[in-house]
Amino acid sequence: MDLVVLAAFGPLAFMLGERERRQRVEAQPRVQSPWTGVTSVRVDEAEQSPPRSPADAAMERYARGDDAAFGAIYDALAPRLYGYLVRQTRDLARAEDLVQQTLLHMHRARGSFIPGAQVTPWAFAIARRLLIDGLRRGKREVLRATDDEASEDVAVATDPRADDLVQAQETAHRIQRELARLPEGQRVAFELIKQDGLSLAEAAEVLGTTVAAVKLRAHRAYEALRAVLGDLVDPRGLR
Amino acid sequence: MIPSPELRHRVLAAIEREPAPSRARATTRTAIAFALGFAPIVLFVGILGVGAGGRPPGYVAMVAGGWVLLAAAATWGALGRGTSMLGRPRSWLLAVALLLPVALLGVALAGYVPWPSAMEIDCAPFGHFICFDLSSAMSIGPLVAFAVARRGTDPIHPALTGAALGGASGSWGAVALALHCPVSSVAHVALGHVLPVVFFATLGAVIGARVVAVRAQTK
Repeated sequence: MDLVVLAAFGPLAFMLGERERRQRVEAQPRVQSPWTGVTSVRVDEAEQSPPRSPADAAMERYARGDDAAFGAIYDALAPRLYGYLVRQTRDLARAEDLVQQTLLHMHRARGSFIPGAQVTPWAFAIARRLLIDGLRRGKREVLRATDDEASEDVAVATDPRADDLVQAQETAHRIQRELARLPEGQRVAFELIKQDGLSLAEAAEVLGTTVAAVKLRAHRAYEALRAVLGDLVDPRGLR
Repeated sequence: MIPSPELRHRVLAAIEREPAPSRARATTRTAIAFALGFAPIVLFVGILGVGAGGRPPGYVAMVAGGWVLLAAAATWGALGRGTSMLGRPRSWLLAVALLLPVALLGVALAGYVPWPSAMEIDCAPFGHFICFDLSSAMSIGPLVAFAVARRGTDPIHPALTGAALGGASGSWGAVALALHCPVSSVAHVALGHVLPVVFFATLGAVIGARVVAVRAQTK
């Protein structure tokens, strides 16, 4: 379970804590400060209207009948969906099952894909609906699970040393606890934007609300987290 | 986080086992569903024809024309998804479902201004039930067609989408009856022609939550 938590919250933990290791963390090119953009009320045009992604183009080809394009759709979306679903379920097998169901739904709906539509918010919305639907049916209650034997299979993006790993685990657990205390609307908005990398517009679509509402929820989540995790927050990340 | 390599094989194998139509074939299927769904209305109007009965012809033209425009707008608003795969915004769908019956009744009431005599043409209470039943019967086909077109496509607010689709289908039934029904009193229009729209919006919400929704597969 620890590694699941670390995998889910590790990047966030690394960015929040260990001011003394800030330089090394910042040196990792793919890691982005979780606070960047949330504190700012201004949102640039690019974030509100993201350009068409390779997944969008692949889905368009797939809708037209190019069966080979599904591989590209899988490669573009499956890791992101998997990360999101692992974080939500704490269950690797369940997360894989939901990824498969999500992609199958997209496959079945290929004929109704709207030219020019964005695939990412659609995929996340389907995944979220399947997750909620499964929980409502009470088949496999996995949220907030306490342990997971399969956690050894988790592939952690970072490669920290042992002491770094322990400290990151502690920080990740703390962030997880504080995130869990947030109202669901704020928590989900924050996670979609900061952990799953969706734009504000995409997150708004997934949640069926407006960009302004998502921005407000994410900002409130940020403020709530900053209030309780202030000692972990890198002040440079706030500016 | 990276899913296991086996997942890729499983997904690709699953989509091979379950072929899905491309856009061209799906469009053809939807067109067939629409043709079948609207056939009862076309047959009803075609066989019985357009009859004003005792109603002023201008009133009939105004109400039928206004209702056709409202039904078309509601269909566009409920069935279309704009440029997003996630459909119309919640407020949009809510407006279609709630305001459509009000707008239909408003057009009928507005027709009484230039043709006040239309208000006097009434029938026995049993006549309201006949039109309610006929209007409902005419609305079933469009609702089925809409449900086929939007089956399993709404992961956000399927019940609201269903309500809007139900309202739109009900309005097409109302249009069919408006072209033929000889009664035009307020009570009859409200109970016999507009109430079915409310009924179908409610029915659509129930159907939408089951048919339009994205649902987890049961093993």
